[in-house]
Amino acid sequence: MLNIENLHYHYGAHKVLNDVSVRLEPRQIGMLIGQNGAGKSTLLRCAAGWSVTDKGNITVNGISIRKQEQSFRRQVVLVPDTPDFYDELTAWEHLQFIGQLHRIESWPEQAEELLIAFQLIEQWNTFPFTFSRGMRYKLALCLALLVRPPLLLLDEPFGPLDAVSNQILWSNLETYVGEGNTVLFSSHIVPADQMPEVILHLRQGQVERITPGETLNLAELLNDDDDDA
Amino acid sequence: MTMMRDLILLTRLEIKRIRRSSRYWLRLIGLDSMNQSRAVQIYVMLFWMGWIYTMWSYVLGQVLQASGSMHRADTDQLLPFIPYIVFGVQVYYLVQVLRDPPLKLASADLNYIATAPLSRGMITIVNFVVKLFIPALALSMIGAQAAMFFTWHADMIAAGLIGFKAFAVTFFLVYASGVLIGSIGVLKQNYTALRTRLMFWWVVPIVLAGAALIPQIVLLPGQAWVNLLGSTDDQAFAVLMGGLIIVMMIGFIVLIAAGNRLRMTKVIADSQMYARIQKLGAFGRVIAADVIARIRRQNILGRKRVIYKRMPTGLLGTSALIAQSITTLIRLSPAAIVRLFFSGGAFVSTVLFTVRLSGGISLPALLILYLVLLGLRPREIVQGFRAQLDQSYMRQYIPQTNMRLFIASAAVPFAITAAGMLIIVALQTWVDPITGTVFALAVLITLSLCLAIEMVQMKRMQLPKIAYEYSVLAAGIVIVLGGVFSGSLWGATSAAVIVIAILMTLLNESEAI
Repeated sequence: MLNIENLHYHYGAHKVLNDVSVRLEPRQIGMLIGQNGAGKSTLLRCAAGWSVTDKGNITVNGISIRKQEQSFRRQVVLVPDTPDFYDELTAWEHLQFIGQLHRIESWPEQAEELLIAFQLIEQWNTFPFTFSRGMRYKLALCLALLVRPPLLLLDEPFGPLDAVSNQILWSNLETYVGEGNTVLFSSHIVPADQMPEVILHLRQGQVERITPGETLNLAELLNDDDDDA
Repeated sequence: MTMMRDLILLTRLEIKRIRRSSRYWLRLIGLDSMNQSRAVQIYVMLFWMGWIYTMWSYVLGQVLQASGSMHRADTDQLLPFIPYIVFGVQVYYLVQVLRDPPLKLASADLNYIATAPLSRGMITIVNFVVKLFIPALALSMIGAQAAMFFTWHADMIAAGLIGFKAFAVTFFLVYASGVLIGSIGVLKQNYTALRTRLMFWWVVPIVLAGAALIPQIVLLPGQAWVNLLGSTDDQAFAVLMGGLIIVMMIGFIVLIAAGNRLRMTKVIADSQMYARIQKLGAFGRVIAADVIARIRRQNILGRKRVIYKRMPTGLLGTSALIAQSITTLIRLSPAAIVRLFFSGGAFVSTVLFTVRLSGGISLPALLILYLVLLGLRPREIVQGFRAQLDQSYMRQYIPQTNMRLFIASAAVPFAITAAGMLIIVALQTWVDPITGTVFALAVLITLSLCLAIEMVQMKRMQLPKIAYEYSVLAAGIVIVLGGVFSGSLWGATSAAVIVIAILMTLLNESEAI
């Protein structure tokens, strides 16, 4: 599914990603952890093809961004931590626009289900720029889950959402990967009693794969980063 | 006592703010008190003093020339209109304060001033004094020049003295009128009920009726200004100034009373948009005009209770993209459609005039045309495309290439612009309508594509960002050579078609995000 090989990326003189390799299989939920500024968002942006990398290769389902950009973009959706929307369209019209653009015949039913699931149905006819951060993120999730790309990348999804919405999102993600898709998200937290299958620890520009166990403590892991620094 | 303490506190804060912003503006003109030696500072100051003196003398020279070229009888015929001009400016300001709440606070003030237990009246006064200063200064300078225009037939010293008096009178007249009229806006600002707010608009017809029924009172400010021109009596000037200062003081008292009634929650709500625009800085209105337009648009759309002009259902794929573009255009502003139509007419008129005035198809003509077109960025045609590119998050959902996205988002604005062009081309007799239409369309498509190319990334093609000026330069050379070698507009049009094909290929291969 997602295959990142020997990825390098720098901002000016600062090397953010240094020879990063990541592999995620279908039906897997991966979690990207690391301190603020470790490069989590950068890695997700590179994986989504939003940032041009210095070196390295990124493929999704074997499709490379360098060789087949259009096909690659159909495979991936990234939900950034502060998604932007069109000023002139309401929440419903955003779903309508994307549904029609992707020729999803049952978009009205699916859009309604998603808005109900993420508790946005009462705001269906409202412009997203009037939404709170959490509501904007929910609408962005609705759009992503309407399109259902094979790879879904989420930047800090659990931060803006309340505890109930976090549980709803987690259960939606489980259903979503159950269909053969893959999810990679960056976060410092996960909903209570939930743990992703793969944890990727980004530290000093490199990724370390951690096998989650019952004893895994995210706070301790991030504290270790402090000690290293 | 408490109000005085508040006034001192707010004035100190305002002085600090003015000092800080002055430092910024002074640095902009090369005067940096922190990092420059005293000698350099004196040199820069002398330079700017000389520049201001030269500019003032130049304007004065123009006024003298204009005044000298007219008979006194002619200039005197203009004097009766002055009271109406002054009245017109006052009514204009009245309409402004009724349309738009006059008391607005910047973001820092919203956080600290609005929520502090300070006198609302004093906050209002300080806000008005600062806000009216620049308009008062500008109008006073215009007033002084106007006064000298009318009195130049007298000796130069007398005219200069009258100019000085007119400056002082105009300055205080602006403040006196500003605070009195502003008080009406401040009073209105407090009310939320639509009926009460609409009632305030009755002030406008009442004032207009007053001008017709009792002109000796309503037109008095302008008349006093006119009387000043014919008087060399210093006592009359002192009386006029005294009267204006008294009216201004009364205005301040009324403004304090109106300000003290203000509810700050209402002021904060009214100030949100203003504060966001203020945050963009001194040049925000120039360099971030699109951001300001977006803020204003959000403000208008956010207030709508009923959303009209829904996106049509049933359209799939690229048709949905065009439908979204139309919905955006209509919701953006119906005025945008009219603007696009007229800009088409203006565009083709410019092209035809330039070619005509330069003596037909020739190298100089096409070079002049190129220079003219360089300044004409078809922003409104490409606006939808730019909005799509700016929203990386939404852009990823659009599976079309940049070329198809450009066509879908620019098709409707382009069609409206083209309609405006066609009317002008059909009406003119200089060039064959068909040749003119095809050439103008080809040039407009070329310019729109050049602007679109400036917005996209082409890193994967190993190409840097291509600025509009460079692509227009390259396209211009090809089109000019095509026109010159063939000696006809058709040759230039054919060259433009080749350029369009190249630009479309580049756009098609550019990165979506």
